[in-house]
Amino acid sequence: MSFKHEKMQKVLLDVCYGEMPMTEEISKHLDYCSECKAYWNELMLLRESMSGFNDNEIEIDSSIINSAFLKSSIEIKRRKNLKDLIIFSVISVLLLGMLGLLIYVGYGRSIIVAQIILMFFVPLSVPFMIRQRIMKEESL
Amino acid sequence: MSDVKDIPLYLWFVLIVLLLAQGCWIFWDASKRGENKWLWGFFGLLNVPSNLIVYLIVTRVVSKSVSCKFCGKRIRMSYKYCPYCGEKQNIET
Amino acid sequence: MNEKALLEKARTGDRKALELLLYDNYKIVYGYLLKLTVNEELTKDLTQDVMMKAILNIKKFKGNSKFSTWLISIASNLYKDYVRKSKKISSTAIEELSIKDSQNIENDVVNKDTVNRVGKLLRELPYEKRMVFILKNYYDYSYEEIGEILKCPIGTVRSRLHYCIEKLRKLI
Repeated sequence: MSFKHEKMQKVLLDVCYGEMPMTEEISKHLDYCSECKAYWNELMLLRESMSGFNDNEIEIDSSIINSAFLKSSIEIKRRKNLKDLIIFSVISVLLLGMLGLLIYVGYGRSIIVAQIILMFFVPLSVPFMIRQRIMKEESL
Repeated sequence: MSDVKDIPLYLWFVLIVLLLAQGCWIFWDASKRGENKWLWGFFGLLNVPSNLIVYLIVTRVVSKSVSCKFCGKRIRMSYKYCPYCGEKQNIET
Repeated sequence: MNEKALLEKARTGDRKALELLLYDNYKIVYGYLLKLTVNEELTKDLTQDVMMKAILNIKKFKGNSKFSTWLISIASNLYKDYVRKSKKISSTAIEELSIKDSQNIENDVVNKDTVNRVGKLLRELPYEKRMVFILKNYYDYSYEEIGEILKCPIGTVRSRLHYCIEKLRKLI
Protein backbone atom coordinates (compact mmCIF):
# COMPACT_ATOMS: atom_id res chain seq x y z
CA MET A 1 0.00 0.00 0.00
CA SER A 2 1.63 3.19 -1.11
CA PHE A 3 1.86 6.30 0.99
CA LYS A 4 -0.72 8.10 -1.16
CA HIS A 5 -3.27 5.35 -0.53
CA GLU A 6 -2.71 5.52 3.21
CA LYS A 7 -3.33 9.24 3.17
CA MET A 8 -6.44 8.77 1.04
CA GLN A 9 -7.75 6.13 3.40
CA LYS A 10 -7.35 8.44 6.37
CA VAL A 11 -9.35 11.05 4.45
CA LEU A 12 -11.97 8.44 3.58
CA LEU A 13 -12.29 7.64 7.29
CA ASP A 14 -13.01 11.29 8.00
CA VAL A 15 -15.57 11.46 5.20
CA CYS A 16 -17.28 8.25 6.30
CA TYR A 17 -17.81 9.65 9.77
CA GLY A 18 -18.92 13.06 8.66
CA GLU A 19 -15.83 15.05 9.57
CA MET A 20 -15.13 16.07 6.00
CA PRO A 21 -17.41 16.49 3.01
CA MET A 22 -17.25 14.14 0.05
CA THR A 23 -15.61 16.37 -2.52
CA GLU A 24 -15.56 15.81 -6.27
CA GLU A 25 -11.87 15.06 -6.08
CA ILE A 26 -12.40 12.23 -3.64
CA SER A 27 -15.29 10.64 -5.52
CA LYS A 28 -13.30 10.84 -8.75
CA HIS A 29 -10.42 9.06 -7.02
CA LEU A 30 -12.80 6.37 -5.80
CA ASP A 31 -14.03 5.87 -9.34
CA TYR A 32 -10.66 4.89 -10.71
CA CYS A 33 -8.83 3.48 -7.67
CA SER A 34 -10.05 -0.02 -6.86
CA GLU A 35 -8.04 -0.35 -3.64
CA CYS A 36 -9.48 2.77 -2.11
CA LYS A 37 -12.94 1.86 -3.36
CA ALA A 38 -12.64 -1.48 -1.58
CA TYR A 39 -11.55 0.29 1.58
CA TRP A 40 -14.49 2.66 1.34
CA ASN A 41 -16.89 -0.28 0.95
CA GLU A 42 -15.30 -1.98 3.95
CA LEU A 43 -15.85 1.15 6.02
CA MET A 44 -19.51 1.24 5.03
CA LEU A 45 -19.90 -2.45 5.76
CA LEU A 46 -18.25 -2.03 9.14
CA ARG A 47 -20.66 0.70 10.13
CA GLU A 48 -23.54 -1.50 9.05
CA SER A 49 -22.42 -4.56 10.98
CA MET A 50 -21.49 -2.74 14.18
CA SER A 51 -24.91 -1.16 14.48
CA GLY A 52 -27.80 -2.90 16.19
CA PHE A 53 -26.94 -1.78 19.70
CA ASN A 54 -30.01 0.39 19.88
CA ASP A 55 -30.45 2.73 22.82
CA ASN A 56 -34.19 2.98 22.33
CA GLU A 57 -34.72 -0.61 23.41
CA ILE A 58 -33.37 0.15 26.87
CA GLU A 59 -35.88 0.13 29.72
CA ILE A 60 -35.64 2.98 32.20
CA ASP A 61 -35.04 1.59 35.68
CA SER A 62 -36.35 4.24 38.05
CA SER A 63 -34.88 2.49 41.10
CA ILE A 64 -31.42 3.41 39.83
CA ILE A 65 -32.38 7.08 39.68
CA ASN A 66 -34.02 6.96 43.11
CA SER A 67 -31.08 5.28 44.77
CA ALA A 68 -28.80 7.82 43.11
CA PHE A 69 -30.78 10.57 44.86
CA LEU A 70 -30.63 8.65 48.15
CA LYS A 71 -26.89 8.11 47.90
CA SER A 72 -26.31 11.76 47.05
CA SER A 73 -28.30 12.98 50.07
CA ILE A 74 -26.25 10.68 52.31
CA GLU A 75 -23.07 12.06 50.78
CA ILE A 76 -24.24 15.66 51.30
CA LYS A 77 -25.02 14.87 54.96
CA ARG A 78 -21.61 13.28 55.41
CA ARG A 79 -19.85 16.33 53.99
CA LYS A 80 -21.84 18.63 56.25
CA ASN A 81 -20.96 16.53 59.30
CA LEU A 82 -17.30 16.72 58.36
CA LYS A 83 -17.46 20.48 58.04
CA ASP A 84 -19.20 20.77 61.43
CA LEU A 85 -16.59 18.50 62.98
CA ILE A 86 -13.86 20.87 61.86
CA ILE A 87 -15.75 23.84 63.29
CA PHE A 88 -16.28 21.92 66.53
CA SER A 89 -12.63 21.00 66.88
CA VAL A 90 -11.56 24.60 66.36
CA ILE A 91 -13.99 25.78 69.05
CA SER A 92 -12.84 22.97 71.34
CA VAL A 93 -9.20 23.89 70.90
CA LEU A 94 -10.06 27.47 71.90
CA LEU A 95 -12.06 26.38 74.94
CA LEU A 96 -9.44 23.91 76.08
CA GLY A 97 -6.80 26.54 75.47
CA MET A 98 -8.64 28.77 77.92
CA LEU A 99 -8.73 25.86 80.35
CA GLY A 100 -5.00 25.45 79.96
CA LEU A 101 -4.57 29.13 80.65
CA LEU A 102 -6.58 28.84 83.84
CA ILE A 103 -4.43 25.94 84.97
CA TYR A 104 -1.31 27.89 84.17
CA VAL A 105 -2.52 30.87 86.13
CA GLY A 106 -2.99 28.65 89.14
CA TYR A 107 -6.55 27.41 89.22
CA GLY A 108 -5.42 23.80 88.82
CA ARG A 109 -6.82 22.77 92.16
CA SER A 110 -10.34 24.06 91.56
CA ILE A 111 -10.36 22.37 88.20
CA ILE A 112 -9.43 19.01 89.67
CA VAL A 113 -12.13 19.43 92.32
CA ALA A 114 -14.67 20.29 89.61
CA GLN A 115 -13.65 17.23 87.61
CA ILE A 116 -14.08 14.94 90.60
CA ILE A 117 -17.53 16.38 91.32
CA LEU A 118 -18.56 15.87 87.69
CA MET A 119 -17.18 12.34 87.71
CA PHE A 120 -19.54 11.45 90.55
CA PHE A 121 -22.67 13.34 89.74
CA VAL A 122 -22.99 13.01 86.00
CA PRO A 123 -23.27 9.19 85.99
CA LEU A 124 -26.07 9.57 88.53
CA SER A 125 -28.16 11.31 85.93
CA VAL A 126 -27.88 8.39 83.49
CA PRO A 127 -31.12 6.69 84.56
CA PHE A 128 -32.98 9.98 84.17
CA MET A 129 -31.56 10.54 80.70
CA ILE A 130 -32.45 7.02 79.63
CA ARG A 131 -35.96 7.35 81.00
CA GLN A 132 -36.47 10.64 79.18
CA ARG A 133 -35.31 9.14 75.89
CA ILE A 134 -37.55 6.12 76.23
CA MET A 135 -40.52 8.37 76.91
CA LYS A 136 -39.64 10.48 73.87
CA GLU A 137 -39.42 7.41 71.66
CA GLU A 138 -42.74 6.05 72.91
CA SER A 139 -44.49 9.31 72.18
CA LEU A 140 -43.36 9.34 68.56
CA MET B 1 -1.94 22.15 98.58
CA SER B 2 1.57 21.71 97.34
CA ASP B 3 0.90 18.48 95.50
CA VAL B 4 -1.21 20.27 92.91
CA LYS B 5 1.67 22.51 91.96
CA ASP B 6 3.85 19.43 91.67
CA ILE B 7 1.71 17.95 88.95
CA PRO B 8 3.97 18.13 85.93
CA LEU B 9 2.85 20.26 83.03
CA TYR B 10 2.79 17.40 80.57
CA LEU B 11 0.05 15.61 82.53
CA TRP B 12 -2.19 18.65 82.14
CA PHE B 13 -1.35 18.61 78.46
CA VAL B 14 -2.34 14.94 78.24
CA LEU B 15 -5.62 15.74 79.97
CA ILE B 16 -6.41 18.49 77.48
CA VAL B 17 -5.55 16.28 74.51
CA LEU B 18 -7.73 13.49 75.90
CA LEU B 19 -10.62 15.90 76.39
CA LEU B 20 -10.21 17.17 72.84
CA ALA B 21 -10.08 13.65 71.36
CA GLN B 22 -13.05 12.56 73.43
CA GLY B 23 -15.10 15.59 72.46
CA CYS B 24 -14.36 15.17 68.76
CA TRP B 25 -15.06 11.43 68.76
CA ILE B 26 -18.38 11.90 70.58
CA PHE B 27 -19.29 14.71 68.15
CA TRP B 28 -18.56 12.51 65.13
CA ASP B 29 -20.36 9.49 66.57
CA ALA B 30 -23.39 11.57 67.53
CA SER B 31 -23.58 13.06 64.04
CA LYS B 32 -23.63 9.57 62.51
CA ARG B 33 -26.36 8.39 64.88
CA GLY B 34 -28.66 11.35 64.49
CA GLU B 35 -28.07 12.57 68.04
CA ASN B 36 -27.70 16.23 68.95
CA LYS B 37 -24.01 16.40 68.09
CA TRP B 38 -23.31 19.88 69.46
CA LEU B 39 -24.80 19.08 72.87
CA TRP B 40 -23.03 15.77 73.19
CA GLY B 41 -19.80 17.19 71.74
CA PHE B 42 -19.45 19.87 74.38
CA PHE B 43 -20.58 17.39 77.01
CA GLY B 44 -17.66 15.24 75.93
CA LEU B 45 -15.25 18.12 76.57
CA LEU B 46 -16.11 18.36 80.23
CA ASN B 47 -14.75 15.26 81.85
CA VAL B 48 -12.82 12.22 80.82
CA PRO B 49 -13.53 9.31 80.92
CA SER B 50 -16.82 9.31 82.79
CA ASN B 51 -18.66 11.48 80.25
CA LEU B 52 -17.65 9.10 77.49
CA ILE B 53 -19.07 6.17 79.44
CA VAL B 54 -22.26 8.12 80.11
CA TYR B 55 -22.56 8.98 76.40
CA LEU B 56 -22.04 5.39 75.33
CA ILE B 57 -24.57 4.04 77.81
CA VAL B 58 -27.26 6.59 77.04
CA THR B 59 -26.99 6.36 73.26
CA ARG B 60 -26.45 2.63 72.89
CA VAL B 61 -29.18 1.61 75.32
CA VAL B 62 -31.89 3.62 73.63
CA SER B 63 -31.26 4.07 69.88
CA LYS B 64 -32.92 6.92 68.07
CA SER B 65 -35.60 5.96 65.64
CA VAL B 66 -36.33 7.08 62.10
CA SER B 67 -39.15 6.40 59.68
CA CYS B 68 -38.57 3.65 57.18
CA LYS B 69 -38.33 5.34 53.79
CA PHE B 70 -40.51 2.72 52.14
CA CYS B 71 -43.37 1.90 54.52
CA GLY B 72 -43.19 4.82 56.94
CA LYS B 73 -43.15 2.80 60.17
CA ARG B 74 -40.75 3.89 62.87
CA ILE B 75 -37.74 1.65 63.32
CA ARG B 76 -34.42 1.82 65.15
CA MET B 77 -31.76 3.75 63.30
CA SER B 78 -29.26 0.91 63.48
CA TYR B 79 -31.54 -1.55 61.68
CA LYS B 80 -30.26 -2.62 58.26
CA TYR B 81 -33.59 -4.05 57.10
CA CYS B 82 -37.07 -2.82 57.99
CA PRO B 83 -38.83 -5.46 60.10
CA TYR B 84 -42.22 -4.43 58.69
CA CYS B 85 -41.70 -4.23 54.94
CA GLY B 86 -38.31 -5.91 54.64
CA GLU B 87 -36.70 -3.23 52.47
CA LYS B 88 -33.01 -2.53 52.82
CA GLN B 89 -32.24 0.74 54.57
CA ASN B 90 -29.29 2.88 53.54
CA ILE B 91 -26.97 2.95 56.52
CA GLU B 92 -24.12 5.38 56.90
CA THR B 93 -21.09 3.68 58.37
CA MET C 1 -40.25 21.90 29.14
CA ASN C 2 -36.99 22.28 27.33
CA GLU C 3 -33.60 21.39 28.67
CA LYS C 4 -32.39 24.91 29.44
CA ALA C 5 -35.45 25.71 31.56
CA LEU C 6 -35.19 22.39 33.43
CA LEU C 7 -31.51 23.04 34.04
CA GLU C 8 -32.21 26.45 35.54
CA LYS C 9 -34.78 24.96 37.89
CA ALA C 10 -32.54 22.04 38.81
CA ARG C 11 -29.68 24.38 39.65
CA THR C 12 -31.87 26.20 42.15
CA GLY C 13 -32.61 22.91 43.93
CA ASP C 14 -35.81 21.74 42.22
CA ARG C 15 -35.60 17.98 42.64
CA LYS C 16 -38.41 17.22 40.21
CA ALA C 17 -36.67 19.12 37.44
CA LEU C 18 -33.41 17.28 38.08
CA GLU C 19 -35.23 13.96 38.16
CA LEU C 20 -36.84 14.76 34.80
CA LEU C 21 -33.46 15.65 33.31
CA LEU C 22 -32.01 12.36 34.52
CA TYR C 23 -34.99 10.42 33.14
CA ASP C 24 -34.63 12.08 29.76
CA ASN C 25 -30.96 11.21 29.53
CA TYR C 26 -31.08 7.77 31.18
CA LYS C 27 -31.11 5.81 27.95
CA ILE C 28 -28.11 7.63 26.52
CA VAL C 29 -26.00 7.14 29.65
CA TYR C 30 -27.03 3.52 30.10
CA GLY C 31 -26.57 2.74 26.43
CA TYR C 32 -23.13 4.32 26.34
CA LEU C 33 -21.98 2.47 29.46
CA LEU C 34 -23.41 -0.80 28.20
CA LYS C 35 -21.43 -0.52 24.97
CA LEU C 36 -18.38 0.50 26.94
CA THR C 37 -18.45 -2.19 29.60
CA VAL C 38 -20.43 -4.97 27.85
CA ASN C 39 -21.54 -6.03 31.33
CA GLU C 40 -25.07 -5.42 32.58
CA GLU C 41 -24.29 -5.42 36.32
CA LEU C 42 -21.39 -3.02 35.95
CA THR C 43 -23.48 -0.77 33.73
CA LYS C 44 -26.20 -0.54 36.39
CA ASP C 45 -23.67 0.37 39.09
CA LEU C 46 -21.89 2.91 36.93
CA THR C 47 -25.15 4.50 35.76
CA GLN C 48 -26.13 4.99 39.39
CA ASP C 49 -22.74 6.53 40.16
CA VAL C 50 -22.98 8.85 37.15
CA MET C 51 -26.40 10.07 38.28
CA MET C 52 -25.16 10.53 41.84
CA LYS C 53 -22.23 12.62 40.64
CA ALA C 54 -24.52 14.66 38.44
CA ILE C 55 -26.85 15.36 41.39
CA LEU C 56 -23.95 16.37 43.65
CA ASN C 57 -22.30 18.62 41.07
CA ILE C 58 -25.30 20.07 39.23
CA LYS C 59 -24.44 23.59 40.36
CA LYS C 60 -21.02 23.28 38.74
CA PHE C 61 -22.46 22.53 35.31
CA LYS C 62 -22.56 25.80 33.41
CA GLY C 63 -24.79 24.69 30.56
CA ASN C 64 -22.39 25.60 27.77
CA SER C 65 -22.72 22.08 26.37
CA LYS C 66 -25.58 19.63 26.23
CA PHE C 67 -26.54 17.93 29.47
CA SER C 68 -26.10 14.52 27.86
CA THR C 69 -22.54 15.42 26.83
CA TRP C 70 -21.72 16.33 30.43
CA LEU C 71 -23.18 13.05 31.66
CA ILE C 72 -21.16 11.13 29.08
CA SER C 73 -17.92 12.77 30.19
CA ILE C 74 -18.75 11.89 33.80
CA ALA C 75 -19.43 8.32 32.68
CA SER C 76 -16.14 8.12 30.77
CA ASN C 77 -14.18 9.35 33.78
CA LEU C 78 -15.92 6.95 36.15
CA TYR C 79 -15.16 4.06 33.82
CA LYS C 80 -11.51 5.09 33.61
CA ASP C 81 -11.35 5.14 37.43
CA TYR C 82 -13.01 1.74 37.58
CA VAL C 83 -10.51 0.23 35.16
CA ARG C 84 -7.57 1.69 37.09
CA LYS C 85 -8.95 0.36 40.37
CA SER C 86 -9.50 -3.12 39.00
CA LYS C 87 -5.99 -3.13 37.51
CA LYS C 88 -4.66 -2.56 41.02
CA ILE C 89 -6.52 -5.58 42.40
CA SER C 90 -4.79 -8.15 40.25
CA SER C 91 -4.52 -9.30 36.69
CA THR C 92 -6.13 -12.65 37.49
CA ALA C 93 -9.18 -10.87 38.82
CA ILE C 94 -9.64 -9.17 35.47
CA GLU C 95 -9.54 -12.51 33.69
CA GLU C 96 -12.26 -13.79 35.98
CA LEU C 97 -14.28 -10.67 35.30
CA SER C 98 -14.17 -11.19 31.56
CA ILE C 99 -15.38 -14.76 31.86
CA LYS C 100 -18.29 -13.52 33.92
CA ASP C 101 -18.86 -10.78 31.34
CA SER C 102 -19.54 -13.21 28.54
CA GLN C 103 -22.02 -15.09 30.69
CA ASN C 104 -23.79 -11.83 31.39
CA ILE C 105 -24.11 -11.01 27.72
CA GLU C 106 -25.54 -14.44 27.13
CA ASN C 107 -28.26 -14.10 29.75
CA ASP C 108 -29.23 -10.54 30.49
CA VAL C 109 -28.82 -8.13 27.63
CA VAL C 110 -31.62 -6.97 25.36
CA ASN C 111 -31.20 -8.23 21.79
CA LYS C 112 -29.11 -11.32 22.23
CA ASP C 113 -27.64 -12.12 18.82
CA THR C 114 -26.49 -8.76 17.50
CA VAL C 115 -25.50 -7.49 20.92
CA ASN C 116 -23.59 -10.70 21.57
CA ARG C 117 -21.65 -10.36 18.37
CA VAL C 118 -21.08 -6.63 18.53
CA GLY C 119 -20.25 -6.81 22.23
CA LYS C 120 -17.56 -9.41 21.66
CA LEU C 121 -16.04 -7.27 18.93
CA LEU C 122 -16.12 -4.15 21.08
CA ARG C 123 -14.39 -5.94 23.93
CA GLU C 124 -11.46 -6.70 21.68
CA LEU C 125 -10.64 -3.01 21.63
CA PRO C 126 -8.65 -1.52 24.52
CA TYR C 127 -10.89 0.75 26.55
CA GLU C 128 -9.46 4.17 25.62
CA LYS C 129 -9.84 3.38 21.95
CA ARG C 130 -13.21 1.75 22.50
CA MET C 131 -14.52 5.00 23.97
CA VAL C 132 -13.56 6.95 20.86
CA PHE C 133 -15.15 4.40 18.55
CA ILE C 134 -18.41 4.28 20.51
CA LEU C 135 -18.71 8.06 20.70
CA LYS C 136 -18.06 8.42 16.97
CA ASN C 137 -19.91 5.46 15.55
CA TYR C 138 -23.00 5.37 17.75
CA TYR C 139 -23.37 8.93 18.95
CA ASP C 140 -21.94 10.96 16.06
CA TYR C 141 -19.86 13.29 18.19
CA SER C 142 -17.29 15.31 16.24
CA TYR C 143 -13.58 14.82 16.81
CA GLU C 144 -13.52 18.11 18.65
CA GLU C 145 -16.36 17.12 20.97
CA ILE C 146 -14.79 13.73 21.64
CA GLY C 147 -11.52 15.47 22.44
CA GLU C 148 -13.31 17.64 24.99
CA ILE C 149 -15.14 14.72 26.55
CA LEU C 150 -12.06 12.53 26.85
CA LYS C 151 -9.66 15.40 27.46
CA CYS C 152 -7.26 14.50 24.67
CA PRO C 153 -6.11 16.29 21.51
CA ILE C 154 -7.95 15.84 18.23
CA GLY C 155 -4.96 14.07 16.66
CA THR C 156 -5.17 11.40 19.36
CA VAL C 157 -8.88 10.98 18.70
CA ARG C 158 -8.25 10.44 14.99
CA SER C 159 -5.46 7.94 15.53
CA ARG C 160 -7.49 6.00 18.08
CA LEU C 161 -10.43 5.80 15.69
CA HIS C 162 -8.09 4.64 12.96
CA TYR C 163 -6.72 1.95 15.26
CA CYS C 164 -10.26 0.71 16.00
CA ILE C 165 -11.20 0.56 12.34
CA GLU C 166 -8.05 -1.35 11.47
CA LYS C 167 -8.58 -3.83 14.29
CA LEU C 168 -12.27 -4.33 13.50
CA ARG C 169 -11.54 -4.81 9.81
CA LYS C 170 -9.32 -7.76 10.69
CA LEU C 171 -11.88 -9.23 13.06
CA ILE C 172 -14.98 -9.04 10.91
